[in-house]
Amino acid sequence: MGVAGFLLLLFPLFYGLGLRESVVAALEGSPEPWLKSILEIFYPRYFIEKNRLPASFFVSKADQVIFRCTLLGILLASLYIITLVKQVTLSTQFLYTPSHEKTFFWLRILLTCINLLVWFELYNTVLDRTAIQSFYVPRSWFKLLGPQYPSAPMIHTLGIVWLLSMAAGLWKRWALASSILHLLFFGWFQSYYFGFEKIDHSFYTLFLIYLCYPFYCYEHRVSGEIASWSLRWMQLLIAMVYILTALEKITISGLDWLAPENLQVRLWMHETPAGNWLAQYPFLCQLSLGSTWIIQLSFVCIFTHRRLSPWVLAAGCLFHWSTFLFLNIGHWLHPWILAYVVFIVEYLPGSARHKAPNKMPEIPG
Amino acid sequence: MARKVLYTVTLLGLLLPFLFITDFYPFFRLGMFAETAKQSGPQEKFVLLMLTKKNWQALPADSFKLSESTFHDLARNHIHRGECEKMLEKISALLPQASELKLIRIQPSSDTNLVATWRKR
Repeated sequence: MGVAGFLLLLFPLFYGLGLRESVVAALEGSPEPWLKSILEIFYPRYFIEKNRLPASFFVSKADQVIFRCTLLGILLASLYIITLVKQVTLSTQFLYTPSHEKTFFWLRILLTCINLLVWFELYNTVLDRTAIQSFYVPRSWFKLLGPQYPSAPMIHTLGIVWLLSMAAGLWKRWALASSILHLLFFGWFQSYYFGFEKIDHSFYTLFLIYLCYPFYCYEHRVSGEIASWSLRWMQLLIAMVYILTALEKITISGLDWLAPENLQVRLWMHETPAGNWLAQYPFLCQLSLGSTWIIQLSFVCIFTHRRLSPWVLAAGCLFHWSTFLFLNIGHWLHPWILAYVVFIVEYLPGSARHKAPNKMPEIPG
Repeated sequence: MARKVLYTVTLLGLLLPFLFITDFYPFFRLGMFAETAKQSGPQEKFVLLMLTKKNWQALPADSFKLSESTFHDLARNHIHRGECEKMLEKISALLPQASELKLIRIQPSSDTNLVATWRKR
């Protein structure tokens, strides 16, 4: 942690000692080969976006990266120094949560239903896109799968195997194997789903759950109540996603982001009946932007005031539904809402939180 | 051990895109609408026109099996690579009835311009 913090602080140091001038000169003219290769790795869209946006836009992005590195560097270095001076260790106790077999049962059932929806979307889209496979361009590590788009019979075969493995996940005995297979199939189908020069984060929170779920299945090899860390980790990751979303807005745009014109322009661009109505009222636009920012930041309560979690999740649903209603982005069953399943299972009948446990389960380690 | 690997991978996966303001697939930057509408620059639109009975007709993207957003991104990327004719050639394979196609770019800040034309040989 300390090393990472101090390493991050080297970025602003070099940047301040003359690197910035080189970066500005390169972005305003033609980047030198070394900067070009860095841009190709970290910001490949630069070569497309530079045709429509001024150099100052990219310079402010570079400054922003350094600002963020400084911020995180200071935070990590300070934490390290505090732990060193006060001789305390950072406890991970809060990660352990009582998880009952019944919680696992509900999570298996609900995740299988969600996975079925994900399967339906990915399988159908990947199959439909065989018609436009001439546009397929594998990106980043998708290239490892080769330049060819899969044939329809291959998609059918893998789709059916994926579906069967998903069904097997309903049984506790097969849950671990099924969760690993689901992660692999999800990655495979998604690589073709996003192979048309456009990627988005629709399934991102579900992906984070899929990444942790095999660990949860592994923990539940035994029956009864256990102290699970993976369920709490899934919840923390979802919360962090929202907090980072809020931080992005304020670090990039500052308080300008809350200006009503910001939403009005977007509402006019997306042209929905509800959006056109809302755009007429600057005060309501400002209120909506403020609420969005507060809702996203309120996910911090999941760390600090867990009792408020149901309210935070309800507000999260409201936010996604509003985005759909006013901007026509996502839909009622937005995958980010579906990801709330990792919170909801704790409130379902028989789960650890639903019934008051007689004693706290033992914490491993 | 496995637990520490998961903690590290997911934390780096969340923090690196935030720090470097870019996606590290499968981990994403979460900057949706973070820029103000003004900062995100002029919104350009692309339209595909097809010659039908001596009239140019604008085609919705789903008529050649693309979603609007995918078509928009493909058009922008093909312009950047200087491969617009190639793009129209690929679209023409999805529109057997097409004899002539045009790709138009509409920018609020400047005039509408013709990007590429394709004719059946």
